[in-house]
Amino acid sequence: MTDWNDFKKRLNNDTDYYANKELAKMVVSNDTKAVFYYLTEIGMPIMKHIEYSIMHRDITAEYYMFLSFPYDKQAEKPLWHRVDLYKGINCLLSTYTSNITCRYFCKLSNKEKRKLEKDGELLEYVDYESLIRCESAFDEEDDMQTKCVRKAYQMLSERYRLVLHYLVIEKMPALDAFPLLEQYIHPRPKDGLTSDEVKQSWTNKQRQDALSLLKGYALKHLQDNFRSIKNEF
Amino acid sequence: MGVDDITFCRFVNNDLPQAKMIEIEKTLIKDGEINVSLQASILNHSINKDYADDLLGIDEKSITTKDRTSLYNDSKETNNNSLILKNSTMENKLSKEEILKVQDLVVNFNESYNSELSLKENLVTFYLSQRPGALLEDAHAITNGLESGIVSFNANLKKALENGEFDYATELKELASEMPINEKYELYINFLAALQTLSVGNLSTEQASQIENFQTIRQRLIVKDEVTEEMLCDVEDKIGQLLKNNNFCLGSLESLKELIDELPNGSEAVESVVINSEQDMREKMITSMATYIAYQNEELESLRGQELTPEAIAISVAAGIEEMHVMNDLNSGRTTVDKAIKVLKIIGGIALFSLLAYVAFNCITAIGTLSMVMFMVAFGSTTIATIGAFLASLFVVWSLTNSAFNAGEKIINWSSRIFDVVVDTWRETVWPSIFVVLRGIKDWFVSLFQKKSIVEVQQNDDNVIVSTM
Repeated sequence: MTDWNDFKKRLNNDTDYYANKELAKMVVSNDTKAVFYYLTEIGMPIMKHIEYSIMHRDITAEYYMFLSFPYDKQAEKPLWHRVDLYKGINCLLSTYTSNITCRYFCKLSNKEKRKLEKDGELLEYVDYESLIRCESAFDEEDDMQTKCVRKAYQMLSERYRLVLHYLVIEKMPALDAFPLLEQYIHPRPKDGLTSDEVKQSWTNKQRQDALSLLKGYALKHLQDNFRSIKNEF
Repeated sequence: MGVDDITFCRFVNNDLPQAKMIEIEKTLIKDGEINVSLQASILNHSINKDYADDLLGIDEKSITTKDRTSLYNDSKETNNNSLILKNSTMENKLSKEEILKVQDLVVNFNESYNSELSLKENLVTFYLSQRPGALLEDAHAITNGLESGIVSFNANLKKALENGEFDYATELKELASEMPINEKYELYINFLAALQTLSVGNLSTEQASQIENFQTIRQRLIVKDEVTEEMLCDVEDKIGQLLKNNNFCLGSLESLKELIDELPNGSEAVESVVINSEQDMREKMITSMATYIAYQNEELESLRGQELTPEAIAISVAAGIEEMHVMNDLNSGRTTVDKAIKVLKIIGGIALFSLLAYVAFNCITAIGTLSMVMFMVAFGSTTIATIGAFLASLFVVWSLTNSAFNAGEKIINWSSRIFDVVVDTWRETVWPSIFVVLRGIKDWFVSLFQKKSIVEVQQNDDNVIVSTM
């Protein structure tokens, strides 16, 4: 039997994703503690973010049904097919869950907007195609959305412009981009090591995580800038 | 053929070769899904904030005064991370934009100041100008509330510093002495739970892992047993222990430590300067009012949906400003690290005690359900954390706006080591005693839960949930 406290500690320091894969298996087998942990500790922040940022409504039931799908009526239990697909390839179960749920609910949101004959493509947000054109020459034909994204991009500090340049516009793999961006990363000193020493001791997984998170942070700033100026356009 | 979830994940994380990234990008564009990858990336950062803070640190090590003026149009990230109240269970922080909004209000106030009116009259006028439609009587009540919070904090701090310590046990006994014993016990139990949660949140990850699982208590605790004097003494004793060993200021110091560059030498007493800081009443009042207006105008996104009173905000502001004095004295060599930590512990304890005193007073004067609500408003863990966040944030606001002290300039010339030294020393010196206290309190709570002497209840819910810890 799994000692749950030890297991949670392993999850917090899971360099090889073994504990994450084990958790996914436990969820699929409907282990009560694992399901509870997955839906609350891991799942709740994701759900709240999606409710607040994307759906603008309560999604509790749909969220649970999405993750636990399909439901075996005979055995009267969910089969968690999507969780079963998690293989721990360079990403935590939480990141995998956030990516797939975000993907699903963004699609659902667009579908609902289309039904209501509203803008169907998340136009309140920065859009990808405008973003990848941000560094190209100014074009008088640019629509308002593109102009606004371009301006929001210009408002970013050099750090975030470079992050988006390498990781989104150039689509560079995180490990290749790391040497180009590490000067902008200052991890917290710990265990008697300075920030630089901590960074030097990082594994590839930590480098990958850092760049992935930095990209999200840069996009968040871009989106904040976009929201703050969109009414000017 | 569409992109499967695993590949989508790897695309979002830039975990594919470049050629494959380009290929997946094309497919996602064709399928109308490419924008989702941006949202997924943002969400990934949002749900892993603590981890991101550890890995990314702060992005700009120093900020010049000139830079501050252009921050509105910049990427808004400068210093964001340095203002986070690090806490594993609560995610309250004030962002840089929010802090600058408060700062902006302070500047507006100073510009509109009418020297023919008193400070309080100016504050009332300013409140009404910033809150169109507000009633004059409300503006007066808020101004009085701010003043009351600061006066109470200042008085307690003065008493503590004059005596070198604060006699929490005696003060707790005198506090709310006319309150029914069961109600007082429940108030203290909730206060202790919030204190414990806050303290654990301010520990290092490794240290926090040794104080397991207390964070599960987030809701109001209800007392099921008949309370005796002995039980009340017991909880008072535990509150006293934790207030004496509190690390309330540690969270804010740690998050500010990256601001500066070198540590000066020398030592002198800090107490006299702190005691004299009652002269800062004006700054405390103005900053408190600006913060309260920004909060009411819902410009502080982080605090939306929370219920904070003028008194609670004022206490936090006052504590933040005192914290600032201590750090300035340390930087200029007027005190030692050990003395600074001692005073910072007193400031944190007094801030928390003043908040308790304020709530206790209101519980006595309130009737029926209102007093029940007061418990949650004041002692929900998130509120305590919010106040901790204020402590860090307002420290900066005040420093940026207080031209007489010229603190903004001083801060940016400080050494980042000064914070490292204080935080590291604090962690080392406090850890042995705080570990014993926190473990003891946690075990004590567990025993109360096991005996079902106390139960946890969801807010706005009739169902009483007995926590199993």
